[in-house]
Amino acid sequence: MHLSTQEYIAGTAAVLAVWMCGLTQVRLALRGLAAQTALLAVATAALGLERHAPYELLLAAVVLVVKAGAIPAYLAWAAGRLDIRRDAGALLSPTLSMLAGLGLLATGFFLAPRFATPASGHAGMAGMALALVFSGMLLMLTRRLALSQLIGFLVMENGIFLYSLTQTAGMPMIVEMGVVFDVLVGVLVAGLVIFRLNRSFEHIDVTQLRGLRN
Amino acid sequence: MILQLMVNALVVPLLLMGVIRKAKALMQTRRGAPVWQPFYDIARLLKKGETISEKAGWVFVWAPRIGLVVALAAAILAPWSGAPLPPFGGATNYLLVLYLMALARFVAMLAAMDTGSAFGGLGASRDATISLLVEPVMVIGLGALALAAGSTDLSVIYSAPVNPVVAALVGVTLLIAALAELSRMPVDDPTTHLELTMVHEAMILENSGRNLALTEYAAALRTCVLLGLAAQTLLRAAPGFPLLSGGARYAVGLAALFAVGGLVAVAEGVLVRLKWRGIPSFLAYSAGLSLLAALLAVLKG
Amino acid sequence: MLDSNVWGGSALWGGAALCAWLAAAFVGLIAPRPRRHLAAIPCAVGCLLLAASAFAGGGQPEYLRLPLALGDAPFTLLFDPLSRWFLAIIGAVGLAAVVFSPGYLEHLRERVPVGFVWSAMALLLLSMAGVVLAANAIVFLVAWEAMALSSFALVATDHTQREIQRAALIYLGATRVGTAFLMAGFLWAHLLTGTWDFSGWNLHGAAALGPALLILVGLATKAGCWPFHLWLPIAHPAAPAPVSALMSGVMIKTAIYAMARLFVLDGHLAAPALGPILIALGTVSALWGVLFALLQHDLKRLLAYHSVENIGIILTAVGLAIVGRSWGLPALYQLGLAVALFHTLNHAVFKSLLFLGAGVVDARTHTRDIERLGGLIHRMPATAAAFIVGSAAICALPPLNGFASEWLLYQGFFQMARTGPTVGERLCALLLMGWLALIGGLAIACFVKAVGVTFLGSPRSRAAEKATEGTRGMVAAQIGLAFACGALGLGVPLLIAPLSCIVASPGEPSLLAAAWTLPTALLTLAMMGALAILTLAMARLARKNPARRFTTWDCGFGPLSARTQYTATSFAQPTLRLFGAVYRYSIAIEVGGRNRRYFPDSVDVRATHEPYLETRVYAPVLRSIERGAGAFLMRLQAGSIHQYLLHVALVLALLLWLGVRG
Repeated sequence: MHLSTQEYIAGTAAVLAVWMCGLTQVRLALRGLAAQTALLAVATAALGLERHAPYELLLAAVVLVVKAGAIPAYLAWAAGRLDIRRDAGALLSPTLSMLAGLGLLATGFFLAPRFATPASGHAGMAGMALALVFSGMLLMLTRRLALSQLIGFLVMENGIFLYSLTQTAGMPMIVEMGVVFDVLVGVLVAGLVIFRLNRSFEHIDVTQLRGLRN
Repeated sequence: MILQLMVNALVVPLLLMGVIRKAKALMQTRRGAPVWQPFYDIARLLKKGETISEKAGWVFVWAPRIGLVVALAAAILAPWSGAPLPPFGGATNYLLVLYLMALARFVAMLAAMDTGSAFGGLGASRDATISLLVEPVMVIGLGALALAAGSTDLSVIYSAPVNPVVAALVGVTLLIAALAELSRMPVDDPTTHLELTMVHEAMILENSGRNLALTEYAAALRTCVLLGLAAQTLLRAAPGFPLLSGGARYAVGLAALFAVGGLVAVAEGVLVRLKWRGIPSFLAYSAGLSLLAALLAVLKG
Repeated sequence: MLDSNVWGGSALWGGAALCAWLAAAFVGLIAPRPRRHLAAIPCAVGCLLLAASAFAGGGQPEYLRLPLALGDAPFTLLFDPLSRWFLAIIGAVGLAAVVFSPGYLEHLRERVPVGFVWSAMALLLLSMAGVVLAANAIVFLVAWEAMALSSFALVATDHTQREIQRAALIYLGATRVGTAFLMAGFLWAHLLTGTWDFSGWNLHGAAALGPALLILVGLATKAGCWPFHLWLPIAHPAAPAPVSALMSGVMIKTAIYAMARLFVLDGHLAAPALGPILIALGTVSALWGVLFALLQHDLKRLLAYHSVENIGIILTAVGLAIVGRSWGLPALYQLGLAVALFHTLNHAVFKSLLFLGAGVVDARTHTRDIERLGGLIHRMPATAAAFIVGSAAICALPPLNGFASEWLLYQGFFQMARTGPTVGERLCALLLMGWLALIGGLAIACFVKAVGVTFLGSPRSRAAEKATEGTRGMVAAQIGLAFACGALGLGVPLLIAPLSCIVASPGEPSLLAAAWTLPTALLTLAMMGALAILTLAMARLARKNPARRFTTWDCGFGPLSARTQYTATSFAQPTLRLFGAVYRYSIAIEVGGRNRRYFPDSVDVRATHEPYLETRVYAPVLRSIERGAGAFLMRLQAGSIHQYLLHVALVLALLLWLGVRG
């Protein structure tokens, strides 16, 4: 299986997601998220050029501006306001969770062909999309702060976006656009929730929410 | 060919050490010793007498000799300079070269324990820990590279075309592994003189005179082999890099080797030594890269 | 063919060897006390005869039928290339153990009836040869049980000590359970095929899986494979050193023999699913063994855990062979099986060497705790040198034999990475290469610790200061095995022919010769030459400027004591902490005294780990069995004679009914 340029770009995004699993600095993770999303936008644009689909170029531009620009910037601003610098991780140590992410990356490649085969000729992309989803899940599972869970969610969303790209026609443009703005609104709401959490409990550590059980 | 072997075995290793030291000095805006200084050092050490601990036995006396012979064998068998290899049959196998280095390390660790010095034990213990993390990474990384060539023979690996991305990943892997294996920054500081923080230097604390000369020379040879293999791999990361032959390949190989040496010096100038407990996390990056390379390599098949 | 004897050199020599051991067992029981080592002579003769039988007879199978029968199974012994390979191992390691024993047993003579040890050892050798020669399941089980019982007697040799009683009982329990599984598997296979002869078992695919899995559990228990290995690090250290060498070097390998015979070679129980299972068990076993070896400070227990490691490596190779066969890759199949057999031989040699070395240390210092040893290289130079060679061999360092077989295993993995059918399998193969390297690195750490703390530095106790070298026989056995380590490493090309004879069925081409490409003998010769030149040059320089002897660097604080040396605990600590999650490893530091920060009176450092496999898995299972069985037995054992008689009558009736029906 020879990988195409688009696949290499998407693969780099997946590797960035794995790398993010091993980070403790929130600011760095946000930069990783921005870079990863930007890479996806580039991959989208490249696919659009290949398929002569101008609307994919437009989609790439929107993704670049909203998901790679606005959302990480907003989250970075929120992290600055809340004075969040590090998230040491709860379940696995960052190093182990990075290696686990790599394992998931490989797993994604094995599982992908068993799903619907993508018709676009970029067979590796489905694997990378799965890897993104897995990494996002891993980030959400292993991290301590609510903000990191938000980041994990965004990585997962990137994975789903990439998977939809692998389908020949892609989703209708209007749906894609809708999803992007849904995500934007979702992040804004989640940001508000994080602010409220911080005000109520003086921290946003989700492992301590267990104390609320009774 | 014999001449090239002699130059590779006798001149290049110590010169590389000199160049790294010089480059590091320049990074620190010092003038630094001339690049030939390691040659003078070895000559001086050989002339000096040696002091051996009363507690030491034959292990301590023989270890540097065995270490040097084994390092020489590795340096002759591995195509780290790009020079064509004499027909060694299958002896240029990468696993043999790695295990020869493990043999040298085993003997060196025993020698460190032989004097009954706490520093020796400390260095040996740390060296063992680092190398058990590095070894699998190198085996997987070079294995990924070997997959494209279909052979674990180094001379075949480095004359077969390879996916540049795999080569880049493996090259960086090998570079990180080499830094750890050679006890250089950011894993170990080769210039520190606080015993408690040292790894390699603590192991050879009891060595002096001739004994030390052999050890230093063997270390230079190992540096050449590991950095040279990393340089050769990184060369193949340039897409469309031609598989040169003859003198041109040798010249490019040496240039790449010294460039990588310069890179190490720069790293030593700008990096700080990691905490002992941070080293596994650092090495995890090289493990990750080698796993990625392995994934890409098996996808290609 | 089975009904008639097919005579040949092998059968002749082999039969003679068995007779010699029978004689030895007898002599051991009747020999008078002053001649207590008399049985050593027939024992050694038996080993030599067995080795001769392994080399005689070429590649032809031979049958030896004894005038005995057990039910409908004749007592037939089969000599073929596979069993000859194991006969050579038994003969060689047996000889070393026999030569070693007289000197070693002397330090036990007050507590132990030496003649009894000799007869048990002769029976152990006899039954091990019986296991690898058995042509049918009944003979196999008889020999297997004789082997278990004689080795149990040997483990319990020093039975006045509580610790050893416990070890012997645990061992007995483990062998019981293992044999139960084995019997169940054999019965199942018998039901499916209607014969006890191994050659009549030809089950494939799903039909083979059931009996094969039962047999696998039985064999894995004997082999000491994770998670059935718990008895091994308890029983092996308890036995006298030459017996530990025999058990670790040979006895646990009889399980490998049975796997090769039943699962791989002739396709008696050819279940492809066994391949991945064996690879998985092997990888875990190897890593587990070496990790826990690193934790041990008892020299023999450390070595016992390394047996778990090496068995794991061998099982992985067996799995590779099965996988190769089921994928239709003859090169992978041949390589896997050859590596399994070769590493079995190599491990037998270097592990028995190491156990004998540990035996000398034990006999001369009366301790196996390496934290109380040190500096023994000055007091027992030959033992130390042989131990270092054995350590280098077990760490797979070139040019010794451990390297040769592990290198071939790397080639097997590489083959799998190149030719495996799917991406997943190819990636797994590359990861297995890394796994083998990790195990090698851990083994190096472990043996630098063992050698460095035991033999190097300065002595940590009076016992270590007063130690002396072993007797001539003890030294000779070790030196012989150390040379064997070198010879097997350098002589791989000579071993290719007998191995090919085993792995390639007649008419099939052997692909082994192409796999081994290293000219190690030449390389070693060149390196020896370079070493000689270097040594001469150093001697020349030393004439002008001789070396000065001085104290070890003490930072200027005054003389160092043995207590300032690095201990085994501190040596292993960085690695243990790295894998802390596997061990549940933790370190508790307690500082005492009034001014604890600057002038502590006492510092107590305690490293602990939780043996969760024992406490969380085995203990609850055993306890629930005990509870269930206890309730049942309580009803059975009412204490009434009449009820017992009723039981007997019922069983008789059942047997009668079975007899009438059959």
